[in-house]
Amino acid sequence: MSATRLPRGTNSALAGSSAAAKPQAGEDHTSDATSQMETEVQDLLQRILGLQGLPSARLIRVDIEAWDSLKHMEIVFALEDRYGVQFDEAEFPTLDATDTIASALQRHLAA
Amino acid sequence: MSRDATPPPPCSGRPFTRRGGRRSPERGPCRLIRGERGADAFRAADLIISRFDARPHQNPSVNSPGFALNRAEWQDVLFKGGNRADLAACVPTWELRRLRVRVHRNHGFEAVSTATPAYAAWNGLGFDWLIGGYDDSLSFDLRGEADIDLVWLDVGRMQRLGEGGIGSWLVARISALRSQTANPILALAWPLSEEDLERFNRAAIPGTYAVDLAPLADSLGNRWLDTRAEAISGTRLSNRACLSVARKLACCWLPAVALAPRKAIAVDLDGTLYRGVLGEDGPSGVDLTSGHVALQLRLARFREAGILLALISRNELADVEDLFRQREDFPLRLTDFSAVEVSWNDKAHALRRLADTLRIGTDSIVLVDDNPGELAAVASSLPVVTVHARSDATDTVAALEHVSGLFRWRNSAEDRVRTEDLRASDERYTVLESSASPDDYLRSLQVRLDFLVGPRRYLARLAELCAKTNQFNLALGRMNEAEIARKVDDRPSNVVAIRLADRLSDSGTIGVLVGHRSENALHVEELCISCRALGRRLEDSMLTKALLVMAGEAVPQRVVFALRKGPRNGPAREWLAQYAGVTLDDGAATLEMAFDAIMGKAISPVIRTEVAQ
Repeated sequence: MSATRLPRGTNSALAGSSAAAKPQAGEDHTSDATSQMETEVQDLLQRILGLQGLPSARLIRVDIEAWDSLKHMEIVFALEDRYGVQFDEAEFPTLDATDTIASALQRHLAA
Repeated sequence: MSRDATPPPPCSGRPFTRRGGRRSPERGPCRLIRGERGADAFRAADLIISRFDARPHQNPSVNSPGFALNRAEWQDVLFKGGNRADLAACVPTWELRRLRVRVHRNHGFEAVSTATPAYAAWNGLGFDWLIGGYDDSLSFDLRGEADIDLVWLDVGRMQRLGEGGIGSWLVARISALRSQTANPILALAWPLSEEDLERFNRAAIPGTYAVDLAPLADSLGNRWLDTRAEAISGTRLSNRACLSVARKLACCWLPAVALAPRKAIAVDLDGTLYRGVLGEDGPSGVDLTSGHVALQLRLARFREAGILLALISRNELADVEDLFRQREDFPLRLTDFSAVEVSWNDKAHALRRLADTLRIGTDSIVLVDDNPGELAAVASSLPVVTVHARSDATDTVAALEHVSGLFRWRNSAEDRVRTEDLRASDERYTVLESSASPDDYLRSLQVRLDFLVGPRRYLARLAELCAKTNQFNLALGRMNEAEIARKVDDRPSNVVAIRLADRLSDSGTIGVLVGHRSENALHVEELCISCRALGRRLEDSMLTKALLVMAGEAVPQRVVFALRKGPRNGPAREWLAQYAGVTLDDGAATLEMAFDAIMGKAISPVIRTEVAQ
């Protein structure tokens, strides 16, 4: 079994979580797009965390034991692969919940 | 003696054959989806699954039609880009053969290991990773059972060794690891200069393989590194780089050090080697696209590397012969195929005949076909590995290059002559038919046997024999290169290699005897003889001479052969029992005979023998 220790250079900020960004109230189109994005992100997270088939409540890193630094790396890379984006290093710690990830993706895709 | 139409028994020495057949009114269930493409073909193939698998909810095994269809469906995901999100969706429902890999590293490996499962599962494999801590000094203090040791090194962290020091240092460290383990060792160190790689390869540490990552790095260019992500991955290598390494590790490099290689690729014609249907379009009407040229060229290179090619097609043989005669633009010629099965009959049956002709097991054959239903049908009854041939044949090439067992770390001289050696069997059969006696036969062939004592330069080939030989293999010990090297270190005559040549071909190193001495006995731990050396009635002479060479001047009282019963070595066990003049129990783990009896055996005087130290 591989060690799940944090890789070299990791600082403690990766283990914490930032305040979740709340989706902005707005047009139905934006709300639908956000909802669709969150659904896709939720599906990807469930797949990588091995949580398929379980009730699809919003996934938050601090609440999920399996979401360790190793899984976090897989999630970030899978998101970048799936959506063709590249997150800044400073964003990595903020990608810690379904909605914050969806928001970050929408920002990158809109840019 | 006339050739009949029934398939020859294994290792019988029957020659290269080409079989055609008359059109059969019963074309079997796969005929239902002939000519269909894409999703329709997969849906139709599901009908076949339901007919073959009476328990549709049970997880299909490796040899089930479900496995073959899943492999076909996964090809686009695995070999066209490779996206982590999509890889995560490729979850196998079949059993996997597990390999334990111990990783010694100085930078993050998890970005690689987490990307291997889908690639490994496609080949029926699963890796259990034991990953050590970060260690620039490679002290190898990681403990735990493993099948393979892997060294994962970012040489960029080690500049303090100075110019030219990396290669020597790496040789020293890997030699230290070699002294601790007999496992195959795979070294992935980047960046390594050509000089350092050459220095490492020149050291020829037994059972050790250094990967040159430069081609992968060059193919990705500025996408090879991504220091942005190093904070979460622990490595400078990018996600894309790690995915590329994972694909090669799982499909090629790791299987090649631990598992027996594939021996043949059997290819379909229509929709596989060209676009179109021969029976409808005619030889001039089938379309040789650039992708199909690439596929045929790749198959030709496999053949040059010693992998046999076979043709298996539902067609008229006369049409197929016309095709290859008329289409000079085809890179492959009909004579490139060591066996040809063209008929309208069941492909599984045809594949069994191919395997008999080539003297190999069906589990060492890769079947390439554009019809997923055919793949499913064959896989339901034979343990073949399947590749779905795509309309864009470059996709077929991509998949084929990742079938485990087709990649080989080294190509031996024996590999390069395999096809011609098999063809020479045809002529030997003719000589046999015209010979008045066994000695007359051997005299006509001008057989020569060389016995090499402690042959270090052939360690790789000897390990290959131990890994690949299933029939004439008495103990099935599967000794690897490092284990054989240790035997030679203990006492050179513990290992005797047998080389064979006659006037028709030089078969190279075809046999190995591995043993050790105790006070009064010679213990034979392994005896393997390649199938292509059989059928010339040389087995008795080979073993007698090899034992005499191994014993040397200190003649033992007895010989003890280690035995292990396998699914296909029954004839070899029976042969040994006859050689020893005893009856062998089914579960016997050893066979003893007095050495005097061996010294009393005659070696045919017409065989020329040479012993080299």
